[in-house]
Amino acid sequence: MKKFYAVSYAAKNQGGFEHGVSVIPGNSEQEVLDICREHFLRKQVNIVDIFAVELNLEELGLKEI
Amino acid sequence: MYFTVQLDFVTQIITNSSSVVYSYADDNAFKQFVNALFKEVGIDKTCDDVFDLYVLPANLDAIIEDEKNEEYGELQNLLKEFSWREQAEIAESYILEKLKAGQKVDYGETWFGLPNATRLLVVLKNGQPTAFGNLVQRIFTHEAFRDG
Repeated sequence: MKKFYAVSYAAKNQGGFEHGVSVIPGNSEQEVLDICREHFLRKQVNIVDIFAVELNLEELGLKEI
Repeated sequence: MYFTVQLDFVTQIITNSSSVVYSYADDNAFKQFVNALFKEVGIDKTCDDVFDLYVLPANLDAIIEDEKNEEYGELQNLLKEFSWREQAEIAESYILEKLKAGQKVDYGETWFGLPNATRLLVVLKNGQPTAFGNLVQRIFTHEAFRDG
Protein backbone atom coordinates (compact mmCIF):
# COMPACT_ATOMS: atom_id res chain seq x y z
CA MET A 1 0.00 0.00 0.00
CA LYS A 2 1.26 3.45 -0.95
CA LYS A 3 2.52 5.43 2.03
CA PHE A 4 2.81 9.18 2.39
CA TYR A 5 5.11 11.31 4.48
CA ALA A 6 5.01 14.93 5.62
CA VAL A 7 8.47 16.40 5.28
CA SER A 8 9.47 19.57 7.09
CA TYR A 9 12.70 21.35 6.26
CA ALA A 10 14.56 24.44 7.35
CA ALA A 11 17.00 25.96 4.90
CA LYS A 12 19.35 28.89 4.73
CA ASN A 13 19.05 31.10 1.68
CA GLN A 14 20.65 34.39 0.71
CA GLY A 15 17.98 36.46 2.42
CA GLY A 16 17.86 34.51 5.68
CA PHE A 17 16.04 31.34 6.55
CA GLU A 18 13.07 29.54 5.08
CA HIS A 19 10.84 26.73 6.27
CA GLY A 20 8.81 24.47 4.05
CA VAL A 21 6.58 21.42 4.20
CA SER A 22 6.03 18.80 1.51
CA VAL A 23 3.79 15.76 1.10
CA ILE A 24 5.80 12.95 -0.46
CA PRO A 25 4.88 9.34 -1.32
CA GLY A 26 7.47 6.71 -0.46
CA ASN A 27 8.18 3.33 1.07
CA SER A 28 10.09 4.48 4.13
CA GLU A 29 11.16 7.57 6.02
CA GLN A 30 14.73 7.03 4.85
CA GLU A 31 13.74 6.74 1.20
CA VAL A 32 11.74 9.97 1.39
CA LEU A 33 14.56 11.85 3.11
CA ASP A 34 17.00 10.60 0.48
CA ILE A 35 14.69 11.85 -2.30
CA CYS A 36 14.45 15.25 -0.61
CA ARG A 37 18.17 15.58 0.04
CA GLU A 38 18.93 14.73 -3.59
CA HIS A 39 16.36 17.27 -4.77
CA PHE A 40 17.73 20.02 -2.54
CA LEU A 41 21.28 19.22 -3.58
CA ARG A 42 20.29 19.63 -7.24
CA LYS A 43 18.53 22.91 -6.46
CA GLN A 44 21.51 24.05 -4.36
CA VAL A 45 19.30 24.59 -1.32
CA ASN A 46 21.33 24.72 1.86
CA ILE A 47 19.36 22.47 4.23
CA VAL A 48 19.86 23.15 7.94
CA ASP A 49 17.47 20.51 9.25
CA ILE A 50 14.93 18.09 7.79
CA PHE A 51 12.60 15.39 9.07
CA ALA A 52 9.79 13.19 7.76
CA VAL A 53 6.68 11.86 9.50
CA GLU A 54 4.53 9.07 8.12
CA LEU A 55 0.96 10.13 7.39
CA ASN A 56 -1.18 7.33 8.73
CA LEU A 57 -4.71 8.57 8.11
CA GLU A 58 -6.28 6.30 10.70
CA GLU A 59 -3.83 7.26 13.42
CA LEU A 60 -4.17 10.93 12.49
CA GLY A 61 -7.96 10.75 12.80
CA LEU A 62 -8.43 11.73 9.16
CA LYS A 63 -10.24 8.60 8.00
CA GLU A 64 -13.64 9.85 9.06
CA ILE A 65 -13.43 13.60 8.63
CA MET B 1 5.80 13.94 -7.05
CA TYR B 2 5.73 16.33 -4.16
CA PHE B 3 4.56 19.75 -3.10
CA THR B 4 6.44 22.49 -1.35
CA VAL B 5 4.81 25.41 0.37
CA GLN B 6 6.33 28.43 1.99
CA LEU B 7 5.05 28.54 5.54
CA ASP B 8 6.22 31.58 7.39
CA PHE B 9 7.53 34.96 6.58
CA VAL B 10 10.26 35.54 9.10
CA THR B 11 12.11 38.74 9.75
CA GLN B 12 15.17 38.59 11.88
CA ILE B 13 16.27 41.68 13.73
CA ILE B 14 19.75 41.59 15.15
CA THR B 15 21.12 44.29 17.40
CA ASN B 16 24.38 44.45 19.29
CA SER B 17 22.83 42.97 22.36
CA SER B 18 19.94 40.82 21.22
CA SER B 19 18.44 38.79 18.44
CA VAL B 20 14.67 38.79 17.95
CA VAL B 21 12.72 36.80 15.40
CA TYR B 22 9.23 37.88 14.39
CA SER B 23 7.13 35.35 12.56
CA TYR B 24 3.87 35.95 10.78
CA ALA B 25 1.28 33.22 10.43
CA ASP B 26 0.13 32.48 6.91
CA ASP B 27 -3.21 30.72 6.65
CA ASN B 28 -2.72 30.31 2.91
CA ALA B 29 0.38 28.17 3.45
CA PHE B 30 -1.55 25.93 5.85
CA LYS B 31 -4.38 25.61 3.33
CA GLN B 32 -1.95 24.68 0.57
CA PHE B 33 -0.40 22.01 2.74
CA VAL B 34 -3.71 20.47 3.84
CA ASN B 35 -5.22 20.63 0.34
CA ALA B 36 -2.12 18.96 -1.13
CA LEU B 37 -2.25 16.30 1.58
CA PHE B 38 -5.96 15.58 1.06
CA LYS B 39 -5.54 15.40 -2.72
CA GLU B 40 -2.58 13.03 -2.51
CA VAL B 41 -4.17 10.60 -0.08
CA GLY B 42 -7.59 10.68 -1.78
CA ILE B 43 -9.67 12.67 0.72
CA ASP B 44 -12.38 14.42 -1.30
CA LYS B 45 -12.44 17.56 0.85
CA THR B 46 -10.67 20.89 1.10
CA CYS B 47 -9.06 22.61 4.04
CA ASP B 48 -12.03 25.01 4.23
CA ASP B 49 -14.42 22.05 4.52
CA VAL B 50 -12.59 20.72 7.54
CA PHE B 51 -10.93 23.63 9.36
CA ASP B 52 -11.64 27.20 10.37
CA LEU B 53 -8.46 29.28 10.38
CA TYR B 54 -7.88 32.47 12.34
CA VAL B 55 -4.76 34.63 12.40
CA LEU B 56 -4.30 35.92 15.96
CA PRO B 57 -1.64 38.09 17.59
CA ALA B 58 1.28 35.98 18.82
CA ASN B 59 1.60 38.15 21.91
CA LEU B 60 -1.66 39.37 23.38
CA ASP B 61 0.17 41.61 25.83
CA ALA B 62 1.18 43.81 22.91
CA ILE B 63 -2.52 44.38 22.20
CA ILE B 64 -3.56 44.75 25.81
CA GLU B 65 -0.90 47.35 26.49
CA ASP B 66 -1.16 49.25 23.18
CA GLU B 67 -2.89 52.43 24.32
CA LYS B 68 -2.22 54.18 21.00
CA ASN B 69 -4.45 51.79 19.09
CA GLU B 70 -7.93 53.29 19.35
CA GLU B 71 -9.47 50.11 17.99
CA TYR B 72 -8.76 48.49 21.34
CA GLY B 73 -10.36 51.17 23.52
CA GLU B 74 -13.44 49.01 24.03
CA LEU B 75 -11.34 45.95 24.81
CA GLN B 76 -9.08 47.80 27.22
CA ASN B 77 -12.10 49.14 29.11
CA LEU B 78 -13.49 45.62 29.29
CA LEU B 79 -10.19 44.25 30.57
CA LYS B 80 -10.16 46.63 33.53
CA GLU B 81 -12.78 44.38 35.09
CA PHE B 82 -10.49 41.35 35.00
CA SER B 83 -7.30 40.36 36.73
CA TRP B 84 -4.12 40.29 34.65
CA ARG B 85 -4.25 36.49 34.77
CA GLU B 86 -7.58 36.51 32.91
CA GLN B 87 -6.84 39.33 30.50
CA ALA B 88 -5.09 37.36 27.75
CA GLU B 89 -7.93 34.84 27.55
CA ILE B 90 -10.57 37.60 27.44
CA ALA B 91 -8.59 39.52 24.80
CA GLU B 92 -8.29 36.40 22.63
CA SER B 93 -12.04 35.70 22.88
CA TYR B 94 -12.79 39.34 22.01
CA ILE B 95 -10.56 39.24 18.91
CA LEU B 96 -11.85 35.82 17.88
CA GLU B 97 -15.46 37.01 18.01
CA LYS B 98 -14.57 39.91 15.73
CA LEU B 99 -12.82 37.60 13.26
CA LYS B 100 -15.75 35.16 13.29
CA ALA B 101 -18.03 38.08 12.46
CA GLY B 102 -15.86 38.74 9.41
CA GLN B 103 -14.29 41.94 10.80
CA LYS B 104 -10.67 42.82 10.14
CA VAL B 105 -8.58 43.45 13.21
CA ASP B 106 -5.48 45.63 13.31
CA TYR B 107 -2.79 44.01 15.45
CA GLY B 108 -0.62 47.12 15.56
CA GLU B 109 3.10 47.53 15.17
CA THR B 110 6.26 47.10 17.15
CA TRP B 111 8.00 50.27 18.32
CA PHE B 112 10.28 50.11 15.28
CA GLY B 113 7.45 49.85 12.78
CA LEU B 114 7.16 46.13 11.97
CA PRO B 115 3.73 44.49 12.29
CA ASN B 116 3.29 42.62 15.55
CA ALA B 117 3.92 38.88 15.18
CA THR B 118 0.94 36.59 14.60
CA ARG B 119 0.05 32.92 14.98
CA LEU B 120 -2.45 30.68 13.26
CA LEU B 121 -5.35 29.18 15.19
CA VAL B 122 -6.68 26.04 13.52
CA VAL B 123 -10.16 24.91 14.58
CA LEU B 124 -11.59 21.63 13.39
CA LYS B 125 -15.23 21.98 12.35
CA ASN B 126 -16.31 18.47 13.36
CA GLY B 127 -14.66 16.12 15.82
CA GLN B 128 -11.18 16.31 17.23
CA PRO B 129 -8.41 14.46 15.38
CA THR B 130 -5.85 15.40 18.02
CA ALA B 131 -3.09 13.39 16.40
CA PHE B 132 -3.38 15.42 13.21
CA GLY B 133 -3.20 18.61 15.27
CA ASN B 134 -0.04 17.33 16.93
CA LEU B 135 1.48 16.52 13.54
CA VAL B 136 0.64 19.96 12.15
CA GLN B 137 2.05 21.65 15.22
CA ARG B 138 5.23 19.59 14.95
CA ILE B 139 5.90 20.39 11.30
CA PHE B 140 4.75 24.02 11.45
CA THR B 141 6.92 24.86 14.43
CA HIS B 142 10.07 23.23 13.15
CA GLU B 143 13.04 24.65 15.05
CA ALA B 144 16.53 24.49 13.64
CA PHE B 145 19.86 25.95 14.60
CA ARG B 146 22.76 26.91 12.38
CA ASP B 147 26.02 28.23 13.70
CA GLY B 148 27.71 30.67 11.32
